Amino acid sequence: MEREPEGSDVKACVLIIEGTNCEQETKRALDLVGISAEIVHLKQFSGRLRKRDIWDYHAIVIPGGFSAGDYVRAGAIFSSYLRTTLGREIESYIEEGRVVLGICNGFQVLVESGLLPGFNPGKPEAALSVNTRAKFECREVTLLHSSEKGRCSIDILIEKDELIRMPIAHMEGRFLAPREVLEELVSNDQVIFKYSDLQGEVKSEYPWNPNGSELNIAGICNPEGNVIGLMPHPERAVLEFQSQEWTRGGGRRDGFKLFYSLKHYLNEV
Amino acid sequence: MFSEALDGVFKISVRGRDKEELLEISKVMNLGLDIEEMTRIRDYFSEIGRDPYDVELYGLAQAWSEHCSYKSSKRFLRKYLLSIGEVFLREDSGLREFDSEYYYVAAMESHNHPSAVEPYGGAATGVGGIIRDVLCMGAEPIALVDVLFFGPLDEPRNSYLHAMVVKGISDYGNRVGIPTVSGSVKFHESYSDYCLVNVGCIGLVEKSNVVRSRFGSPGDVILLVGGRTGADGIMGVSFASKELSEEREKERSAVQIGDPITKEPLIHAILEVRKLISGMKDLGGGGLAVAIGEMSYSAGLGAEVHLDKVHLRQKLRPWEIWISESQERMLLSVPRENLEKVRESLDFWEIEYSEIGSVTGERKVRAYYMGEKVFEIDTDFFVGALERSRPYVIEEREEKDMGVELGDIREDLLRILASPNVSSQEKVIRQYDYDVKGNTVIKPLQGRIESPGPGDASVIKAPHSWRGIALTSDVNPYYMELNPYWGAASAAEESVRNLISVNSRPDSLLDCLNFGNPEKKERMGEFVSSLKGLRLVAMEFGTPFISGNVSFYNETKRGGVVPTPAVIGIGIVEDVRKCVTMDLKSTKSYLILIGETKREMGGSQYYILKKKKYGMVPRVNPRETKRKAETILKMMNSGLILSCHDLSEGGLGVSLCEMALAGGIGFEVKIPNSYREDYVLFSESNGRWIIEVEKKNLDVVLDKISGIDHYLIGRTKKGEKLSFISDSLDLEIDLEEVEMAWRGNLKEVM
Repeated sequence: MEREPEGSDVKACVLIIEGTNCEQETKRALDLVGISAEIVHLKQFSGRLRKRDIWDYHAIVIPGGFSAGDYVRAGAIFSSYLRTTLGREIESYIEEGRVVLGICNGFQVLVESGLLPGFNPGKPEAALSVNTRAKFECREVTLLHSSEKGRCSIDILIEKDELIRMPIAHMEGRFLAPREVLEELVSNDQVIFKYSDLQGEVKSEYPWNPNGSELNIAGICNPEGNVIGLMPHPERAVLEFQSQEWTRGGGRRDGFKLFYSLKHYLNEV
Repeated sequence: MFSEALDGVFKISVRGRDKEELLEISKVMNLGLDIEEMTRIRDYFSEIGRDPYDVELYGLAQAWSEHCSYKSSKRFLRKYLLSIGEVFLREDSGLREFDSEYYYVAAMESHNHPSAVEPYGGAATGVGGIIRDVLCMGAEPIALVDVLFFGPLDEPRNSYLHAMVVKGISDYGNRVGIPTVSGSVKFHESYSDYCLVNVGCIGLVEKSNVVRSRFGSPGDVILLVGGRTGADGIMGVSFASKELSEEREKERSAVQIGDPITKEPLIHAILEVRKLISGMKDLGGGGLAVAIGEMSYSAGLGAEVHLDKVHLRQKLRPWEIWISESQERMLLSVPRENLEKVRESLDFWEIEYSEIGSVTGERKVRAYYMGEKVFEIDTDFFVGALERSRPYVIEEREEKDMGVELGDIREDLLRILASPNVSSQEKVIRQYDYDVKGNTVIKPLQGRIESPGPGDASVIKAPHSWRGIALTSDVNPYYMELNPYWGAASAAEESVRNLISVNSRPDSLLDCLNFGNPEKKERMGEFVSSLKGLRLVAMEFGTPFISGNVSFYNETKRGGVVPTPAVIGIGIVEDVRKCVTMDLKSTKSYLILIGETKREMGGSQYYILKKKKYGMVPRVNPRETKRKAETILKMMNSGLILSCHDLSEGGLGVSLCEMALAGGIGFEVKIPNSYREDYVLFSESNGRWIIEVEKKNLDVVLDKISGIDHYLIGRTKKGEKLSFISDSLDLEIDLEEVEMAWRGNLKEVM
């Protein structure tokens, strides 16, 4: 490691630019599991004001929102800023084994940067395209944990084939990639979560697959498992009172499990 | 009459002009001022011994527009709405105590005219403006509510307006990251070719962080912060203060274009600097002129500003800079010693700003352009003076109910479920990010994931505690059409009932009063009746109207819209973990109807279906409703109520179906036989709820409600059958049919 983060606590940076808008609840969720989180604007890694260093953090979390308005392709501008600000440093950061988690718009940023699927970092090989219904979609979805337990740094506490629930809220979440990329994702066990129906059956029709994603992909990781992208929002599922069915006795906090896994992972590394 | 005094600034000779000439000036300059107002201006300038500059006339026209001055409505608002309960502060937003450390901050506004012309931009800008109203109190916005009204969607223009308004709100609200948690979409033919877009915003602020909407002290620096000033939105308020002409396409330049991504860093920056500034106001109608005027007036101070210092998007004439309504701008007054720190924050967030002048101790507003004085008017004359007394007449309402023929109740029920004002709004709701910020604990769609139903209110949890804020909105255009007084009272009462349904205590109301041309005395009469109706309910519940707005001139060539006092209800939830939703929870519970069902069919969905526009609009008995509400809240806090749903459009029949479809549970009910079964099933009498009670709690509950009107109407049951039984009725419907009708697939059911 280039530099050991200060203090004993694990620290995460919630990385934003203009238009990011889920940073507060993401920080709250990280703090809740005991990861000390700080909201940092990307320009703080390069500019003169309020200077920060990425090596001070064990993990970078890119939260949801509409970075730079997403008037081009979602995540495209953030991704290009990321490259001009951090250059190769982000790749070294990942090669060191530190964690980069992208949620919703953050996932879009990681795909645009080519950090996911991560076969050739720097070269985009997939896309998160406009939902098949061409509308913004806000709903709680059921996800099948399709990879092995502990495949990546956020599923250490989640069994294979376990069903979890989290909300989605996006316009561009349809995972598309060439067939060979999809095959490689599957053969590497990089598909962490798939949209499914309430019983865990992976169905391609709406609303079970809410956006038309190939293979019902809702979240993937890189081959090493330390870069993760999720369309659903775990930070909106850390209290049982955030879930759709809590007044029916169906309160869950599956997002908490994901962040708690991350805490375990970061403690071990 | 006009002479160029400076480069781009004209002097207008008003002194000594007669009425015709004054009106001609108003017309040529498009000031929208009438003869009484023009005369006052002439007299003012005669007295100070000079003629006004165009900058001054345009400034006055904005400040004196109906939109900014409330000149026609002020006296009535004071009399009926502003004298109820206690409000901590009523400025750009209203503030009430949330808990010992926080106030909640709320505002509501219409954006009707712009949305009717440019629905996407108009609606988006409405959302942007209301967020700034909350933000400028130093508060963090936590939720948006939108209340929309359209003509029937089978007309292409209405369908276009509907789609674009929803998209505008969704694109803006979602981008700016504030959840749209509640709202409603109503349809009535009087909104055809037009639309009403009313938006509300709620925020929270630590008590020590409240920022006032007025200047601090003489010598403070005035900063104009945010987006650049451009030619958009010029004369927006004059445009909003007259009836919409047919040349609406030409009026598009009066609609501002919003940019949520300029706003988002602005929110960060404002929340950072709020402790460092002495006053703040969002720039809305009337632009810089009105903001400077109002901040001066509220502080009893004055200001000197330099229009050439304003950061511009394009070259503008001085008067255009003065009144442009470009979006995403805030006006700040900053004590000189804090200026450096404020600059640091604004620089960090890359917010553009200009230091445009300073606060003065003299009650005069002065503006300069390139060193030349182009505006100098007494603060009190500029924004404080105007109040109009409009004549009004309250028309008698004939409410005779000629009845309808009894038809096929099953078919009628399904048709009502499928009708525009009752059927599912899921397609709209899912386009809004109601979950962003992670505090939406009771969502607009409630019940089971695969088939949620329409919640009565949504609840936002405060990030710092288990307390929450419940939000709902209401008004029924069909009641308003028949009887503005009882229609308005019904709107306020339904808001209150909705708040009770989720276990919140009604705390305050917001009002957006959309009416026709106040210069027509019948329209003004409808306005006055409506205020009286709202007051009736608010007085009993002690819920002040903490913020709102009046939108007159909602008329097109097809006539005026029905009087539409849209109400947002705000409730306080003691503990969000005790909230109740409307979906049936158990297959072994009892259903109790609280409240009396009367034959009040005027404006009901049943009569609309039968194309009957007569009958008595539901009455309101706020005292009784309050008694029932208190009993329900007590039972909820003791955990005795599994689910609760208010009865409104479509009455008992519709509410029961909604509870069943949201819970995926059937029922068997025996409906009271006070009237013919269709009247009982579809009456929309106020003051009613259905509660679901577990068998083991039934006796306790019956005991607690022994003093109020109630009917044990039946039980829930396993399976997918909904049965309605009475002496003369034996109706069984499949849950699936009900669900399909309500979700908009009526054809497949019939």
